[in-house]
Amino acid sequence: MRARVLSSLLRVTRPPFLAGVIVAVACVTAETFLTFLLERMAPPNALDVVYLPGVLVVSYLWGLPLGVLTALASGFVYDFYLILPRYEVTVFSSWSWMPLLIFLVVGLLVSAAAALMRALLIEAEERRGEADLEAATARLLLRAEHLRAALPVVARRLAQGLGLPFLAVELGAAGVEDPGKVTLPLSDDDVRLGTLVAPADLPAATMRRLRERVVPSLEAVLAAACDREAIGNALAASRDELARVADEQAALRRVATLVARGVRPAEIFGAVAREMGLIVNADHTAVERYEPDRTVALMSFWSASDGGPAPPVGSHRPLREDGLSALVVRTGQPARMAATEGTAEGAAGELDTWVGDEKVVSAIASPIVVEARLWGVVIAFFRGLEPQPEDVEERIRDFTELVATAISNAQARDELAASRARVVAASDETRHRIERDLHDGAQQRLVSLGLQLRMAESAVPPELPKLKEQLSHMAEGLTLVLEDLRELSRGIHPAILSKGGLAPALKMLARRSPVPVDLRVRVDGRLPERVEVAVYYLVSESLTNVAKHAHASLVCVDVDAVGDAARVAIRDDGKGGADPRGGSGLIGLLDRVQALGGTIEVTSPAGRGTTLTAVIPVGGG
Amino acid sequence: MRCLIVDDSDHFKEAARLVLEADGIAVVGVASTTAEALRSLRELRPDLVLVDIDLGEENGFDLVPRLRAETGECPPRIILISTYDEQDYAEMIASSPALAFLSKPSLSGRAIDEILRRADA
Repeated sequence: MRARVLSSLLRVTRPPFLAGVIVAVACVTAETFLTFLLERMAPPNALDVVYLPGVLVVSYLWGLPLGVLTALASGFVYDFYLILPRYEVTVFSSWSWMPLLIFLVVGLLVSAAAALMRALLIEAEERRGEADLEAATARLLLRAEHLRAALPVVARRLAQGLGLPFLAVELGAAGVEDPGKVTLPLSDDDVRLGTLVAPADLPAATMRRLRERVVPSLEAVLAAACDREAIGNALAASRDELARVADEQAALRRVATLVARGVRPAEIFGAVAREMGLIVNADHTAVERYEPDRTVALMSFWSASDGGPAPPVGSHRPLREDGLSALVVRTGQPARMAATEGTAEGAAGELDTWVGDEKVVSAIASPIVVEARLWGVVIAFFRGLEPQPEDVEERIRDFTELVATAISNAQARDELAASRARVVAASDETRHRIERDLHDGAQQRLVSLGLQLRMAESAVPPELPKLKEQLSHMAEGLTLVLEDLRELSRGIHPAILSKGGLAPALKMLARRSPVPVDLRVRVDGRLPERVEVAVYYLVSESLTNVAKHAHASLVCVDVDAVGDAARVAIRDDGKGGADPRGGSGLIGLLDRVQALGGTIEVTSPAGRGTTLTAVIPVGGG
Repeated sequence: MRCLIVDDSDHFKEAARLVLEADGIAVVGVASTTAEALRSLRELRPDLVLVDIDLGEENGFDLVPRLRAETGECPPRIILISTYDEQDYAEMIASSPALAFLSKPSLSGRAIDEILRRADA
């Protein structure tokens, strides 16, 4: 009720003029009756104020002219009824016109004040409405997911709020042909943001209001909304880019972990083909190796879908001069090829037969360079017609560098193992030769000398006992030297190993061991010499260690060389607590066994003996 | 007694011949390889063959059965000799058809007589 009264008081359009006249007459009549009632309590001169509310109401609601008329009418009625003599108009006949004049002046002032107040109130209300509208517009525009979609809603709300039949907000400069519409440019610092389209036949005041108040606020909000949309788009783009980078880094990290763990290159090629294919959105990827005979060997292949049979890994194909792989060979740089229309060739000049996917239209390749030498190439194949982004080469290159590292590591590992094996073999060879030389040379000569000495001894006549004794002494000394030499050459290389094989050699070791040995040997014929030597030294070194440190009463030596590996287990019942890293003997054994691709494990809990187990592969040449 | 020495060391063969002949054992031939040994055996028909365990690339243990096979009914007596310790080759000596093992530094007519006497006993 109150709100309705208030809104009717603040209405811009005035009530009908006739209603104003009726209200004025009613007010004057009612006020006259009121003065009759009040006359008994107050002097008539003071009762002219009673007419002021009527003047106030009429001039507020119907404006100044009707207010002035009401004031005049109130003045004459007051004069006629209340100023003595009653029931005649005295204003022209006596001095009583003075109070009347004062009343009229006051009435006029009240009318003017009321009209002004109304104008101010309405203005304030309009501004409030505009502020509300502005806030609503700002909310709509700034919250909108898509600016363009929000504009019609905003325009409708604006039109509604301003009481206009329609409004439209367009982005950019919109030309309007319709003569019934007018366009108002919306710009921010001379940058044209959009256009406000309004009805052409608006009253001047409304048009002014649009230009002076609505357009500036709309411009500010629109500028903010455009900025917000731009920032939002930039944020979304950078979020996408970040996600892509994160994915790529994760993929690279997974591959790098494999490289660092030293897994087989074949496994790394597979992982690279898959991870790279997913990262660059390829339909197929391939890792290839250039062969010396101008062919290319496929090391790994990956497809995004399961369509069609993949070319077999390890297969070779000739290097086609017009193909992408050959281009990489020529330039040593990443390269890309796309199918040109009208050629019967596959996309990369080689793909139709190779990948077996006729839909592939482009391919990008990056060289794999291992230690400054072109080793191979990684190729990503695409079915998509649109050109691939420019950074694909760069992203593939990150993967090829990992591949190169893996290959280089594997080569270094192989070379290290081979050189270790060569070092062990060379040392064995040298020891064997020294032992042979000692045996065939010095030992035989010493033996012969000894025999000759004994002959000389027996030939000495009995009358020279001193000489005989000296010769006997020398022969004994020579025998001792021979024994020393025999020990020495046995330590250098066990001749029995070459002559008799592992079983007799191990039995010899067992016989010579100060600690009793329970020996079990299962050997099927002769093993490769390097394996026999390794097993022999394993047992020999272990028995020496047991005798020196273990305080054991029994050693069990178990050698099983039937099958593809020689398995050695040496257990003692000694005090345990041995440090497997201590002692250069065991480290030398570790080198020897690892050079053969074998393993050694030592467990030595204190008080529970020591166990050494070793596995040495027999096969592999 | 006629003896054949199979050894790849000329020094030793010379010294052994002197020692044995001084002790009354006739050294009728010497050989350095398996082939020479088999040929000499066929030609000379010795009573006793001293076989070195280590014949360079070849092996005295392998030679012994072949010497026995070559002579059939009445094989010569065969003694393995070596500069190596008997202990080293104990199993192989035990499983060899040779009569015994004699360390080279201990070679003498008396040592051989003793081995033969023990074998005959």
